[in-house]
Amino acid sequence: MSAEFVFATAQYDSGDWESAPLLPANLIDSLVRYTAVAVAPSGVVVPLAGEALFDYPLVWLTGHLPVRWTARERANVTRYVERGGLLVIDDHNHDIDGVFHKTATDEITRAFGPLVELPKTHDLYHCFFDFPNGPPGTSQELNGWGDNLVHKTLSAIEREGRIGLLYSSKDYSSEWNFHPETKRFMTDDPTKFGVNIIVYALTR
Amino acid sequence: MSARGVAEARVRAVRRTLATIVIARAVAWGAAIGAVVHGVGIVVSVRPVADVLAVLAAIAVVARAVWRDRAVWSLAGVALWVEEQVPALGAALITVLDRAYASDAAAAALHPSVRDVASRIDATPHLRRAAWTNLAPALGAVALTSVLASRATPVFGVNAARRDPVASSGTRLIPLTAVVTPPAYTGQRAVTVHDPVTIRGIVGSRIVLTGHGSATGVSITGDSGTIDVVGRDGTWSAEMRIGVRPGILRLADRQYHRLVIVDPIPDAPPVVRLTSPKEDTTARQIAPSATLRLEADVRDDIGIVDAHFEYIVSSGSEETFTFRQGTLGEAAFDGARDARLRAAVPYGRFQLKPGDQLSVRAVARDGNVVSGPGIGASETRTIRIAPLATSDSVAVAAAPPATDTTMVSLRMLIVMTEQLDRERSTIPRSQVVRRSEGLGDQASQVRNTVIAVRDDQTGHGEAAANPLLSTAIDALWDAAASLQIADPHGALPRLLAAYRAIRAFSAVRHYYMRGLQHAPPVDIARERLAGHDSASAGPLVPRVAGDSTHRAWAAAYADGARLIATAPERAADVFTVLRATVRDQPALAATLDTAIAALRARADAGPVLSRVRRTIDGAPAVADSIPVWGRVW
Repeated sequence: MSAEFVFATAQYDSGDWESAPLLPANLIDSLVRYTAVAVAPSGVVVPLAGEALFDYPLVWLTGHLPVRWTARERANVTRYVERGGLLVIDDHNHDIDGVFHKTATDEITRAFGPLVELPKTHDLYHCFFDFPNGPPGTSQELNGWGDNLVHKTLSAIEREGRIGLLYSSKDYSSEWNFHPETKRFMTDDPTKFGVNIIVYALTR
Repeated sequence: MSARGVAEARVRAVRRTLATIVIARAVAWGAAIGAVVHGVGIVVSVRPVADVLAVLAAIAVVARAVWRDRAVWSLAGVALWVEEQVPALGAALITVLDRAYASDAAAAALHPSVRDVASRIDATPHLRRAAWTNLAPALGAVALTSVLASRATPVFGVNAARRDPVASSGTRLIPLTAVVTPPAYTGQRAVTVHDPVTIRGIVGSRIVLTGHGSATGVSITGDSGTIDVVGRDGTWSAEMRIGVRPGILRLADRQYHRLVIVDPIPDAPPVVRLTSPKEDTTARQIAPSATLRLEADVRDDIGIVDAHFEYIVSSGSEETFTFRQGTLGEAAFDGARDARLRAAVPYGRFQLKPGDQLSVRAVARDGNVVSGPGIGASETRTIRIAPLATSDSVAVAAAPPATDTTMVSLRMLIVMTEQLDRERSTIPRSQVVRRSEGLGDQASQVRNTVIAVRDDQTGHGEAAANPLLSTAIDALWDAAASLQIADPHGALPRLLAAYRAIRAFSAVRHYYMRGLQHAPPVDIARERLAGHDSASAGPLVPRVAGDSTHRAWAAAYADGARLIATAPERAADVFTVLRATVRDQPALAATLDTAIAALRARADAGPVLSRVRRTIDGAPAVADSIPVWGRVW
């Protein structure tokens, strides 16, 4: 087995898990640009119900459609988080009245209990790049779709003093889903917070 | 008053005091002897008999002491005692009182001197001294023997193996009775448990603990604080509710203690199984008049109140997703444990358009008014309408229709090839060649169709091809080649092989393939550390191994195991506390129960405890290499 970090996208049964196909390449690119972490050049898709899930320290889950985990998916996710994995769930609708948010938080509460808001002082915001104001905003939040709110915090399920499940309503899946060639025209790389998430998953 | 009357009055007063002293001393010695017999009964484990003997011995001692000092009841005897204490009386007192020696006339003659003597009688200091010398040893004996008896523990006999204070007869914590009354909504009866180690009951059940003796000095502490203990009619009792979490009741009576586990049985939410539709479906279009038949089996441990189907229709793409939600087929089940929920709805109700997704599930509610209601939901089935635009992010390959069409074409091709094979010997060779070439062209067309299906599935080679399709394509190539050289007989097995492969492919459960991710790989060598923003990673800290629950169990097990040799009762207590935390592991809980019972009975708990350890540690994990991210799984 390779010791490289491999970015994994979760494949689940009920929704459009593949809705941010360019996000992995952009996060991998940023991880390569800013860190010395050994990383695989492309990501993988990992079924949430499979044993392969446990080969990856960080798994990204997103979508617009209802999140209804099967019994196997739910059991796997619970075991994954309890045993030290980091599952990031990002609401591609950025809509707290949307069905993704409602069904995903319903599933999370059912599996782990209620989500807890992360304070701005949390290690996640300072473990590599410094984000003193908490999670960086996205241009998607005020684009007229979704709930049109700027979400000030992220929520999480913590285990053993570290985040096991990170929940975001900020729609990073849209913000970071640009073509990789676009990054060179950007004055500020929006994916730097993604580096923090990966570094946190690998080091905490 | 006559001289005799005065003397008698004085002596009677002394007699009352002396009699009180005699009786008090007799009772005290009786109590002391009774306590000694009671204590001996505890030591030799014959307590019920010993208690009877103690009472009899006490009565005998009291009677004996009173009889021995019976002289105190006669005036003459008391007068003699007074004469003995006050020699100055010179036998005048006894003479006056003794009618046999002093007639009334003589007494009258003695009147002045007797009155003089009587006025000089002061028995108070003598009585005080008599009380001290007689009562002090007796009361001392009572105190000493009571202390010894209260501290006695079984040394011989049947109770010797249970020398623990909990098991001794001095505690009011044995016998202990628990009456568990389930919540009213369950309709279940109360259950009485005698001397419980574990009290199990549905969350919200009322527990009434009862024991013998007064409530004074008996205390019960639960995880949430002290529980009131009340006394009535020679018994104590305490009342509490079973909470959501398991807990331990710590009962104490002076130096005695006892642990009782409260193991809540949660009212499980209903188990719901959606039996129709059986699996996810994708369709090009569904007629509005077509019917969606929904069926679900519902089961609950206590009773189902109601159930319904829930649907979500998701429409849109990119940033324009909209949702409609609703319920269908609401039904009340009035506490039934098993039920079947049915509904039939025309698809027109959902107004499905191409690209929409209909998600349905069944939801049931139980009657839990204590910690609920418990809500159970089935798995979700999705019915997708294939989008019209092929460029959609959830683009659907035309796999099902293509394979269906291909199978029809292939069946016809096989029938025609079989017919040609049969007629081959009866028709001219040129006709065989012409017809066979035609069939070969058709086989090639079918093959091209299958290749198109494969390309749709694999994103034109970006993902691995389904081996069934590869088998069909190869077989059709061979079949077409055979037909082109007018060998229909040789082509038939290849056509049949291709048909079997396509049929198997069509039967694959999830034939609906979503759009593939086209994630461009990153040129790591070019991009490495090319970023313009600098950052300093925070200090690294060692990561703790996951699965804190098992580690906590293992630590508690180790604590208990260390105490087995020196303090088995404390070890049993530690395992009892551990037992209270493993309620979701029935096998481990049962094994711990066995181990605790063995430890309390001084039996060999080794084999059982080794099973406990194995259950906690789990089967040894064997890995062929270190996992990628260095975690212990």
